[in-house]
Amino acid sequence: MRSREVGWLASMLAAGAAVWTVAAGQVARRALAGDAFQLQVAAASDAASADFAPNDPPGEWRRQARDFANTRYSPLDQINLQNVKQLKVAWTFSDGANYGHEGAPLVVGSTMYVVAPFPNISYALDLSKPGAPILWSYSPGPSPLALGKACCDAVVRGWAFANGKLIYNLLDDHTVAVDAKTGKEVWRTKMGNVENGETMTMPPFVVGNKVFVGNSGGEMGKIGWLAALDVDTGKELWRAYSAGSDQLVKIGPEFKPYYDWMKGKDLGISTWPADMWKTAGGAAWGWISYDPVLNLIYYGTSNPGPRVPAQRPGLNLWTSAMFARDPQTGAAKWAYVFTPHDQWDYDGINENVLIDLTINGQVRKVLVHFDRNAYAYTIDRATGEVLVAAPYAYQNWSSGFDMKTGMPIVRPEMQPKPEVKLPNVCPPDIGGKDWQPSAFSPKTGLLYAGIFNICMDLTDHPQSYIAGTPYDGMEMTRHPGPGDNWGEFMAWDPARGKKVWAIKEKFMTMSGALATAGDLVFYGTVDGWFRAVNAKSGVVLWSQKLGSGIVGAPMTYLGPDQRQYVAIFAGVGGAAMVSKAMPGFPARGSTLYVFSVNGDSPSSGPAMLTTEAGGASAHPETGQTGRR
Amino acid sequence: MPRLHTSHTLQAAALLIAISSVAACKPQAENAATSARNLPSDNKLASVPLGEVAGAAEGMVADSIKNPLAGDKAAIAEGHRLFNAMNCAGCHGYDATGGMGPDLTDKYWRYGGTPGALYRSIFEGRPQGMPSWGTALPPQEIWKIVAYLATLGGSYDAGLRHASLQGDHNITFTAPEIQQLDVLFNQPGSVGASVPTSAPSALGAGGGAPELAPPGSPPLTQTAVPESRPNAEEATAPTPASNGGGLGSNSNPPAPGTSGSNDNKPADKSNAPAATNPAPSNDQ
Repeated sequence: MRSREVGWLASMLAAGAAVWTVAAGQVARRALAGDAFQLQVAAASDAASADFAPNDPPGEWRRQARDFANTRYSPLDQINLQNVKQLKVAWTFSDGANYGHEGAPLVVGSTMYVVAPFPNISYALDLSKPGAPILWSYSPGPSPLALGKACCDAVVRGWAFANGKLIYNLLDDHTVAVDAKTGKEVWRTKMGNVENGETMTMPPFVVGNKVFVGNSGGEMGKIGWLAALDVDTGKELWRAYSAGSDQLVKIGPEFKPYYDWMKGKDLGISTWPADMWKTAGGAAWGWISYDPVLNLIYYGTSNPGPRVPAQRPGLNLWTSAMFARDPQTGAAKWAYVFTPHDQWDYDGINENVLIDLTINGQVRKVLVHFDRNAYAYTIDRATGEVLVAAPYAYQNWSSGFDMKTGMPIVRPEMQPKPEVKLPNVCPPDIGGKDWQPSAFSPKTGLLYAGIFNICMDLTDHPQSYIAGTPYDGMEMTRHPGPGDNWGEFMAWDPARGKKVWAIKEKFMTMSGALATAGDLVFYGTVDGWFRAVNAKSGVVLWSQKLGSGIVGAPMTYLGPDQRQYVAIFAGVGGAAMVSKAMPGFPARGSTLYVFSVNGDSPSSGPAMLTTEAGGASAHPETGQTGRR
Repeated sequence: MPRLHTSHTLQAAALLIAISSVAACKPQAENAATSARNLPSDNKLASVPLGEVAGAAEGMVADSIKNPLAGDKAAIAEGHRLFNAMNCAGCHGYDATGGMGPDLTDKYWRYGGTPGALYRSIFEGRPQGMPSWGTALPPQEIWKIVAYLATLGGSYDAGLRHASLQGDHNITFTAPEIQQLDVLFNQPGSVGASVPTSAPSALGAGGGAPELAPPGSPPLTQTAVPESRPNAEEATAPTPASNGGGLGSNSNPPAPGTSGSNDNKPADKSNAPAATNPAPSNDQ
């Protein structure tokens, strides 16, 4: 069964409205890109909520998405619709690294923790003192070899705090833990071989005494994996691969995918030409979320390798997919493949936001996932059943979605052939949305996300596997989709599979989103504007131009002075560089901006006219003074 | 127009390969002796020759080596094909304007932009992720790639190594310098004596070096997609390793005079393509 709730977005886009709002449930006609496919004609109620476990203190931000569910929702409301116009810079901080700044600062107690892109120097900042001076810095000295092995800039996408330690991945395939009080290294675990093209950029995610980390290198023919390490020792406890035998993938008797075509023995081998699973890709370079009641972690896998589909006939499991796993053992409970036999580089690594929705009078535990393939999925997170699949961005590679099989319907003419230019494929390799994380507000029941409006002209070149070099083969030129805007920031109704409002942006919108109890949503643009928006109406209430483009994730916290702050890195890089030829594209940067109402901060006034000494650098020989 | 002295070039190439593959960690005898002579004794200050740029030192990259295939249309086309087939394009972009790896169409060269320097960067690899292709590509195939790169407008002519390292994007040879280079490239025995940039040339020291490489190294085979997948953990190139061959083993040396149109001319910047295309593959 499927029904079509036809949208209204296309007509609104055609009308050129910069900002618009639509009452929930409104229905209108539209074409290819906007059909929502659902199991039933949904009589969705507006009730939507989330489990905000582990329920950290409201003023803190202890993990990248604040909670296990990945909502990026803060209960703070000091900054609200009334006073947001008075936001001013309270203080700034430069980490000196000129690569893309993609992570969110963490705040635990009166300390802020940030980790710079390569060479991955970390800093603890004392929020109790004027100007937030450096308490310590730690320089791990990753191998410069990694710079040329990272496909998409020498970024770090986030870091974790657990058991008094700051834990993060180095670009050269080491996971390190640093004592959060002293900045001394506690452990360093080698996870891969950077020489062969494997890197690590994803944000570690901690549940209990385990930290989960995954690799990058899907463009380099590296087989993907997710591993669990002991938080206190760094010892590897298990590792689950994204292809290969069931044993490697950790598929056993507990594995119950919802759809039949994902059932069978060793599909991670048999859905590939002989031995090609060894260079499968399926890297786990994105976000992890956790449901403490179901006791499952969720994460996605990258594109298959090589990116030229003609070289790998088959469904190519388990790439461009996601897993639900038991965090204790790594055993897979279910999986879902967003883009079987991906032909356009539609990685499945984007965030999975865990919320509870009322659909047809029933509360469903779901996850919401905006895939690179331009479909937004609302999936039953206990079973892997797709409840809603609807395009959130312009796409032309599929003609619809088969709710019976859970498969998108591929348009044959949009399948690339080797050495033949295929014009105007939408979305392009970086998708309708890339890794930049969305936010959820229980006050509106909506998700908020920066998305793209980009297409590509694609020519595939068959590739040889040469270890340490790209196993890629997609030659692309990218251009905006319908309209001339590269970006858009939108509010999404996950029960109906519909956009509620959207803000067009000339440049890419590649920052994370932040939602607050002050009825505000924050995001940034690649040309460097940081904006606050009315979460209900989509009206932009405040904007500040920062020193570089924004690809980071905003966060908010309560300072030791009990004042609410909003923080965001400006430092363009990562996949946003695909638009670097645009007139007005900003220069690199490395600055954290922290805002408060009127720019007030601890000891505002006379105390700010003198400087207090900070702490010592943990590694003075390579830390602050290190020249790289 | 200066004419390329083939046997000299092969000699120089042979020296380059010898340095690269055999003696990379072992200074030439003469240099070692020089160094030892100038090392400071107790309580004395050092008196040693000027140091050079890492990875591009004169002793390692013969400044005056010219690409034996420069300007050869077939070689350029084959170099372009290899650029894609050996996955160079995956890092540097199909238009070579950069991505994971640096832009190869501009005038910025960290390790030098002359044919000899480019050859060496390809042969040996570079520290920030550039693999060493010396084991995978025979010398003539590397020269073909260098010949292709020379058409992109960013590289420097032989003799301009210092210009490429010092950021002299607009350098041109004066008439006397061109004369000197004419002498240089036509009289192997005098090589190094009058290089405009004045650093002592490795060729000078190695002018009498024998051709080290045996003749007849295997030509590069087609880089089709291998039938059987290499192990994911092993660095396996799809071409036969031929580092036993060495530079001098070019089994199909170009005829004198074919080295082409840009000998000793300053690079024509107006031919540089505009680097307007977005970077390739950027999604992680």
